[in-house]
Amino acid sequence: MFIDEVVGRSLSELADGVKPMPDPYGRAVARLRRSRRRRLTAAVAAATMLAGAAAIVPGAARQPQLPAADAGSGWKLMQQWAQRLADSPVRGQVGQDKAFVADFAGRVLAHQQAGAYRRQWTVKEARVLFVDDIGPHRVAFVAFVLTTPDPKTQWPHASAWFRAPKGASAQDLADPSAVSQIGDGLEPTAEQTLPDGGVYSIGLAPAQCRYETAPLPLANVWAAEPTGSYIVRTPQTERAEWWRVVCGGVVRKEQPAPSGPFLQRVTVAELSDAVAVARGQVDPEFARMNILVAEGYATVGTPKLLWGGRISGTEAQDGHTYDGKALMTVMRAVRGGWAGMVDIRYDEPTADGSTGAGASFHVESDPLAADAVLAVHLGQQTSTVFVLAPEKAVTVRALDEQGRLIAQKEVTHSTVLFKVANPAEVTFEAVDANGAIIGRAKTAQDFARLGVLDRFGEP
Amino acid sequence: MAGNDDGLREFVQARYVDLLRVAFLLTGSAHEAEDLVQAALVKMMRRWHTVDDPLAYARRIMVNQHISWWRRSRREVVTEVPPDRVVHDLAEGVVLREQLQAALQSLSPRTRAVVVLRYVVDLPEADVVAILGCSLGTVKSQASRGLAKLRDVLQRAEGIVLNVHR
Repeated sequence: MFIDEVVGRSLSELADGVKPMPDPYGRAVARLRRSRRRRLTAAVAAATMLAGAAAIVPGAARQPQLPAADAGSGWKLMQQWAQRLADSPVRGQVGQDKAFVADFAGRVLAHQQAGAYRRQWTVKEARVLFVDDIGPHRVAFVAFVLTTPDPKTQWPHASAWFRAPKGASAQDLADPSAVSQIGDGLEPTAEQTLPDGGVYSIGLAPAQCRYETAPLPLANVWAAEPTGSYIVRTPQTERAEWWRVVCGGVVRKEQPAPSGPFLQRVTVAELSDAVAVARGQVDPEFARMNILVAEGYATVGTPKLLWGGRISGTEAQDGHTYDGKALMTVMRAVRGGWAGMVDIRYDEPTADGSTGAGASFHVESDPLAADAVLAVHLGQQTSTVFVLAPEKAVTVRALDEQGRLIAQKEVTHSTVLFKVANPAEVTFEAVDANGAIIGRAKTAQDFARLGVLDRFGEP
Repeated sequence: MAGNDDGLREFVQARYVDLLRVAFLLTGSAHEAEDLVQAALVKMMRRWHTVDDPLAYARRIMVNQHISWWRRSRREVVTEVPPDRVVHDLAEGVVLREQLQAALQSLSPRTRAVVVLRYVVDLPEADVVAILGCSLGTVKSQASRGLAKLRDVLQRAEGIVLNVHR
């Protein structure tokens, strides 16, 4: 066999395990819509700024203005910020001990040049950007200035976090065994978490920037950190929060704190509890997978399993209908309301390899309420709406915008599927055995997950 | 012309997995592969009515988008521990996949694209030239370098005797 055939075959096998996520066409359509909305929002924001509303962040006027970045690619702009980080003074209390910092930097440089850190970079300088005692640790962050940018990656810097026992000497802190994390580049900010009887978190930004934090669940009331361009959280000060980095009045980065309680994994006990209270027939393994993959960065607390069971007649993008198992989960959304997900796994893959369908949604009202009706459109490629009705519901009606009856169906195990022409415009009413309306809801909106911002690559 | 939006839907149905496989080899990540294909589809949607060869167009968008992303927003590779620890207890097949994946990702994005398009998608060199917008000589040299690197991995891992003279 020839080399190109072997490589081609091996690479093909490498890609064999890749399976598409559900509803690729519908997701692309949704993405296009979001993109158009963002463009519209950006246009409105630009118009607003032209009208004179220039304060992007409270306090912006008090911030020193940074020199305008050269026009160029996002990579270059990002590197300018990374350079500002590399040029920043040492942060941290121990970092104010100039003799210690000089000794530590010299030892780090010597170790790197001797190959002790097992990286092949040609380094001309080791810049200590942070040193402090945090809990039981002495922690340091170092930027390596490369002689020339790495020929493969083009990074001009590399970086490393060091950790040794509190009060460690410069020699011990620089020892190769103290390297806790090493990176082949240097980004505009650096974060580190140290789990040790609790979590210690550190964030470091260029000196021209400041950290601000906002507590969950809303994560929209921001307060500047007293430490300014860096932040330290210990088990005593840790809280569920988001961090952002503001430079020259512009929010450059916004993200969940790297180790908030809201990012912790669900315990087995919590999973059992969730399965126990869910309606329907929940497949525990299916539920486990759903709950464990639930990302915490836009949601708060433990995912709630609302319902699980069999579902028949889901229309896939190939136009055929499929049977399978389904699950509905919800979590509190970071900035209000509830985020939910319907996950459907077909019994057999479709002809194009899709193994299931799903949709995320957002509702303002409590989905755990006894009268909650949840109607979720299962993707742009289909007219199917999945409705979870209150336990006492026996039928569900679909009404158009004028309140006219479009369809009515009996509820099976609290759920019913509708096929409607314009799902976003339909209201669903749950009706009990006495004919009373016990719940009502419009089709839920898509859950546009609150994005983590990184604008260091933007002008 | 490719037709209307319904044609696009059919295209997605028929070709999504193929595109996803290529994207996976380009990016090395199932998540990023989905993102790359989805981004390419969005671009196609905006000009679907002008696309003559959707598959070639999608590949071209993906390759160029990937190279652009890599240039613009490449992230440092951070390792939690010093890098040369060896994991001994994995099955050989898994080790080979990891080594092959690592070798593929160690190539520059453009070289990786050449290798994938040439030897996985099985495109003629002229088509690769058209997608990447570079010279035939560049495609040949990058294919050669990429092959050499992957060959080394395969030979070390499998002990395969490879006929390099063709």
